[in-house]
Amino acid sequence: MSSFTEAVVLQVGISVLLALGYWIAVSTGKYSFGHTAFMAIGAYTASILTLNFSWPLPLAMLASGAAAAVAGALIGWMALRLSMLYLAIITFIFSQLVNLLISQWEYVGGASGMIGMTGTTVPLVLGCVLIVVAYLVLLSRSRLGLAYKAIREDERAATASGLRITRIAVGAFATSAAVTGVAGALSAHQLMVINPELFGPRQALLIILYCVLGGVEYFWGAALGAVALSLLPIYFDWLNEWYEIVYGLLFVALMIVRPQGLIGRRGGGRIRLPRIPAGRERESVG
Amino acid sequence: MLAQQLFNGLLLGATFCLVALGFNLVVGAMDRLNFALGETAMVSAVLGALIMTETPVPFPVAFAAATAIGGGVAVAVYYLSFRFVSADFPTASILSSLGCGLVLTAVVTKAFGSHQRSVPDVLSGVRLDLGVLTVSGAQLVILLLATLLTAGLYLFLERTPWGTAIRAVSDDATMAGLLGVPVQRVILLTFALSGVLAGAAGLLTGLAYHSISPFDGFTTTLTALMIIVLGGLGSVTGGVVAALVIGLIQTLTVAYLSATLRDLIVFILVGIVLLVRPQGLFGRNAGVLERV
Repeated sequence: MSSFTEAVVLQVGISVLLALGYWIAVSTGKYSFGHTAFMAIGAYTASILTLNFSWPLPLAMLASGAAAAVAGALIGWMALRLSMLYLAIITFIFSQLVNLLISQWEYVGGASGMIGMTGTTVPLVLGCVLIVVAYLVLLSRSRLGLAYKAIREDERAATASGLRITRIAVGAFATSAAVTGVAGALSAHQLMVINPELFGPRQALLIILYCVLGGVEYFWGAALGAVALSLLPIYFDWLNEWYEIVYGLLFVALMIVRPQGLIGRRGGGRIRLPRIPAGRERESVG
Repeated sequence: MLAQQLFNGLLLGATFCLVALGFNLVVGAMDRLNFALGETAMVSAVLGALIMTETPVPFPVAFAAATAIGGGVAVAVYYLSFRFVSADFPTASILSSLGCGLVLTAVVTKAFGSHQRSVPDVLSGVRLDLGVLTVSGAQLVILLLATLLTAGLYLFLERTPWGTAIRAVSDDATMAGLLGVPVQRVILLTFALSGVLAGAAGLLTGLAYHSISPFDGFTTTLTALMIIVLGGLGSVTGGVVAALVIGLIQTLTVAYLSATLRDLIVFILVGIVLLVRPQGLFGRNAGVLERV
């Protein structure tokens, strides 16, 4: 395998991992607008452990997954009880907070970041992708996967069916954060350099776009979106220059034409329910 | 010294308040967030500054142009990201407007460069000396225009038929439609108003700092979102109070502690409010919006 092919495979693999991680949260209908925060937490945790404590990378990846999961559970617990719009705002603010803290923290190099991480190999990345895919296959056949779907389709009906939706959604959010954290760790050890700027709003949008382009209904839709979007800039150089405009317009066009993504049924089989008047809503939150 | 800082903080808060009001208007009308509003403010400010430096027109004309540009951009964003985007996908409009914001920033940097642009001073000869604090001409203009716009918006919403229609749609769009309110046009008006407010805020903030950068749009959105969380989603009073509070905190932190702590303290405050009072200081109920 030439070093170019290897770099491409690594990048695509990490993007797929990011998309799959994000999909876990989305499969409960909870869109985060700051998943880069978990990526940053994972990247920095792993980098600190491998550089300053000379841990082996796989062990550091586990730790970064755990750290991201804790952060995910915390932010999920704060935000998932509230409405969709609040979740969007809070995750967005959270990613900025993490970014700010990292760029102020001298121990991890502040704004200039950390340098010298190595060790991401093709088997390692593909192994992680395989593990996550296996988990998602099992999940989609399990009762938990069904519960995720129920929450996505209708929270009130899910509560009425006896699901503890907040607990389940927080669990999904933490799992999602963990996968994203591991992807961040892998990404850091592939890039060899990390700084707060890498985990800015541009990356956050990219993760969402991977997932939304492919379609949020099936996890392999998200994975395909990630493959397509990470291969395109590699083979079309001009895309890098017009990156923001092309991706921005892609978002706009996609949301008008196929908001459910390229793969998936119209409306995801969702039945529209009449709106329940304000004020009676809180009882259904559980 | 303290009086001067308090005044500066209130001034900053007054400009924040305009953008936050713009966000809240849209949330009221459609229960959706327009994430491109910060970039709308940036576009207006950059073009407004260009008009001020490149043409001999007086400031009021440039200001009017900036607000008109803001309104126009917001209407364009409405058609691209809201009008034809299905309401079945609650995140679709957020993603789409984020995309619009991305495009706006990229277009401005490609057309006018990514450098900081200086905003010329207005009324530079005027200087009010009130003993404990001095007020410059520009500050006077900012204070005056921000107050006028906020008061004007309040009167418009409370005292005019179109304002009543906006409040009716915000309350219950279906019911308003059944009673003969032209809902689509009211929503369009709301977007235009939010753009005008954002455009005004953009140029006034530029005036306060004497400079504007094409990357300010993102910061503006972030600050407005924190104000909204603090004040309560959709609450006008909450928005005004929270904007002033955040403006004061930011200014006082920079003056007495350190510039690096500025955002951190606001983040912590927002976090505490979310934990203790998730609906915000003036929000009625965090579950009021349709849960999805």
